[in-house]
Amino acid sequence: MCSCYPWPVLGLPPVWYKSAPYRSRAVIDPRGVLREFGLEISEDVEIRVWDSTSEMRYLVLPERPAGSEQMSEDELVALVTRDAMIGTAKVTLAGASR
Amino acid sequence: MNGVHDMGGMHGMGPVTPEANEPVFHEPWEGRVLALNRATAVLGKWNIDASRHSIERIRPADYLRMSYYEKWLAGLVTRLEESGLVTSAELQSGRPAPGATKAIPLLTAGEVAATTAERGWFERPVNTPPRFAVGQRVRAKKINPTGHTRLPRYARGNIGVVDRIHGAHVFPDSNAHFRGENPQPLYSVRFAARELWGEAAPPRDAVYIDLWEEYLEPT
Repeated sequence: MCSCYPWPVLGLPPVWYKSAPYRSRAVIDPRGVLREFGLEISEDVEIRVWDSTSEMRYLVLPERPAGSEQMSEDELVALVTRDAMIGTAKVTLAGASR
Repeated sequence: MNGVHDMGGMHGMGPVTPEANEPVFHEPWEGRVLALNRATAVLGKWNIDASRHSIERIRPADYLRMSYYEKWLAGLVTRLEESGLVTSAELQSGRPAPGATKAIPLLTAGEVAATTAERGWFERPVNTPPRFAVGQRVRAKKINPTGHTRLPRYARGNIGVVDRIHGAHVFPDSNAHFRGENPQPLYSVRFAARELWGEAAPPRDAVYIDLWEEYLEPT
């Protein structure tokens, strides 16, 4: 499990992303890791983990939150967080907290 | 090498602890270590795979104790010595040895933005078509190379399905040891969580791993 990260898009990665707990557990226990971020994923939702072993870089295209249908692109951009693009948070109407 | 850096699937490392409002650097020296790495990379004495391998070779107990930028500094010191840019005596004294010839181009302030904004490009043109096709079942070889490799231990011997082909990329296992780029097809392979971790894993979950052609065999 590598700590490779899309620097040009998301900046330098947070310490937890490069930590042994995250790197050891993301592949074997993604649901447990997400629970530590306060994210409970229903059993009927498929979880896909990307282990970035090459120079390809990945980020998550966040799911659009319910109630955002009338929002402009700029308003939607303000909702997206770094963690939502790593895949450890959902985008909510409450907006960017991290 | 089967090092502690290849920790995917290990237990006992504790919980993930995100820090609210985390600063970019926790100490000024961390920024200096990052800058030293970028500035010396420009000298062309090593490549990204050799850099990773220098960090993997930190002794396991030290590797687990050190912070991210401590590991970066340790890896950099290894590379400076192995490439002959700096001797161990110079590292000890903090001064260039008398008569040392270090005819290397300086990275000037004006060049920094261009060199650091530019990420390397690792795809290479090759004449041979990929051996495997999207949708094909493949097995990750059961190999234990003592040098650098990007085939995680937890994938070895397991069967997955080719999800996409990224083109041909520089092969880290040879490039890290300055034995050539040996570009070859790079595949994103989907492994079911149950294939990797057994029947206790959730039935629908999966791990996608980027794997070079030499890591794979037909099933």
